[in-house]
Amino acid sequence: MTSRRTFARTIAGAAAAAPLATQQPGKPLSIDDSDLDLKMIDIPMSEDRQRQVKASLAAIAKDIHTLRAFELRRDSEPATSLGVFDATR
Amino acid sequence: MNLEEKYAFSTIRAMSADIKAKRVSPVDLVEMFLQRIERYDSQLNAFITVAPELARAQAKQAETEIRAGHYRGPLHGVPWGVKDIYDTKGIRTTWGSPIYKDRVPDRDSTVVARLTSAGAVLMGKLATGEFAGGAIHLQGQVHNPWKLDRTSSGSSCGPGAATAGGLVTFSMGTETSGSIMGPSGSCGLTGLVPTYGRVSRYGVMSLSWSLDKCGPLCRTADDVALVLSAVAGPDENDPTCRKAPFTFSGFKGNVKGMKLGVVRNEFYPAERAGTKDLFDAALTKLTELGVHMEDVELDPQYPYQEILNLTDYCEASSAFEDIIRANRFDECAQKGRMNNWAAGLAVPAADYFRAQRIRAMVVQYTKTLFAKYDALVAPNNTAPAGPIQNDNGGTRGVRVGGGTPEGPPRHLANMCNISALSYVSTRCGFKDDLPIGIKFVGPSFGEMKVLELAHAWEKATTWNARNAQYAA
Repeated sequence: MTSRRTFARTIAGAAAAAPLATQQPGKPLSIDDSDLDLKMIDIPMSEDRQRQVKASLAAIAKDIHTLRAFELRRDSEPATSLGVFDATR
Repeated sequence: MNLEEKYAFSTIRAMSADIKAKRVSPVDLVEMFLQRIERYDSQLNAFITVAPELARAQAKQAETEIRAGHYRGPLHGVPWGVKDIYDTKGIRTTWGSPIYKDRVPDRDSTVVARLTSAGAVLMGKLATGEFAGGAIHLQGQVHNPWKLDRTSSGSSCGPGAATAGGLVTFSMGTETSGSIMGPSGSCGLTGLVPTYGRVSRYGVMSLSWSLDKCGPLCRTADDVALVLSAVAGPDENDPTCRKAPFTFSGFKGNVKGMKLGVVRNEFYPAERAGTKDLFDAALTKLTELGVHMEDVELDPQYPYQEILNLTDYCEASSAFEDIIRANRFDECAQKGRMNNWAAGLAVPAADYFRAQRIRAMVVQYTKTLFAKYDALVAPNNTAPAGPIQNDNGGTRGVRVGGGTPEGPPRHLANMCNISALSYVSTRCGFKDDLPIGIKFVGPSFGEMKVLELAHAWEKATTWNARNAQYAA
């Protein structure tokens, strides 16, 4: 579990590293794959596999970055939680 | 005209009229299709498992019932195929992966049970990109019946190729993020993605529980409506399935006065692809049908793609955590298929739920669109199917082949998938003898509107007259 939490912090840290305030949603964020450290993950992987998962991780970090840059107002959101589709019914 | 010439590429509507009138026997139809599968599937690779014994038994039962005056309806005796992520009792259901090559369910999925109840004749299990992604499965790649060196897209590649190739009369696929629209466009079919919650997913492999939808791939909008009416409706085994049966008693045949939003940004890639003229002509034709149109731009503030990605990867990570943690990457047919899911395991819950919070806003936004428009119109595929290439299962951050030219952000496709909308693709021309598709997008539970539009379009054009001649 420690490994997983550390891994989670790795991606969270990568996503949060850039100055979010100056980023526009949808604008690409440059993340160096070498910043992403997979050694803590519990799954043993070949070097090639690590390279591929790092690439995925970097791309997801950019997604997270963009989502974090989206301004959410807690007092004006539509129905959320598990009822994401309640709003359609 | 012999049996094959008359029925290999028949619509459900035409075939069922002849079955009902006893002009053709379901038994003879099944034998004809089995021969075609034997002859041509070595070229298409659209089937993972053919089920001749089941097909013959179901056809014989249909013939006996119809002769006895027990006609079940327009699907009675009609041969079909199902993507190999729908469970079929006693028939292996592999999810397209070597990891599950010997998996034999002890139940039918609800869709299979309903189509069996409607009297349809199951010919077998159709190829799926492994785990409902990509175009490669445990038995290789699926080829496009219009040109064998082209992809049938994915992940409902088997349903696309088998239906367009005249190996079945209709099929059922699934879409999480483009897996019905892709093959429908590449193979020139009329494919529908019904509203999330319209069709039961019981007994269907879960890739992403809040994105997965089950829908038909057919030759016409009329056929789609016939199939949808058989499979839609509530299911006590699938609590996400709404009490919203789809009843179809025919089209009005008139779309005059309907208001369409033209998603102009989605048309621009057609210029580069050399298909602009087709889409210009399509919009002109729609105007001639009496449809009112005005340009609309989707609100660019929403991160449609990012919401889809986070949702897809996190939910797939959850669904397949066991095989990810067991390090079974190299056992996959697509060696990179699980890379995104492994990375998805590391996404903080707060970020997954942030995506869902913004997603709910997008859902609300779509309501404002459909308060103004009956439907949206845009290209489904501006370019024809690309060449078959090896791919790595779509690992993010790694450039992959696949045949779709890079275009602008696919806001509309992503919005459709995250917002529980209903949408249909139908043929709107050819480029290099390969089909091009146009798409009508409607609101949640707006299937009748988009099918009415697609039907009117098909009636007003001649594009559907051509069949794939891959075997010539």
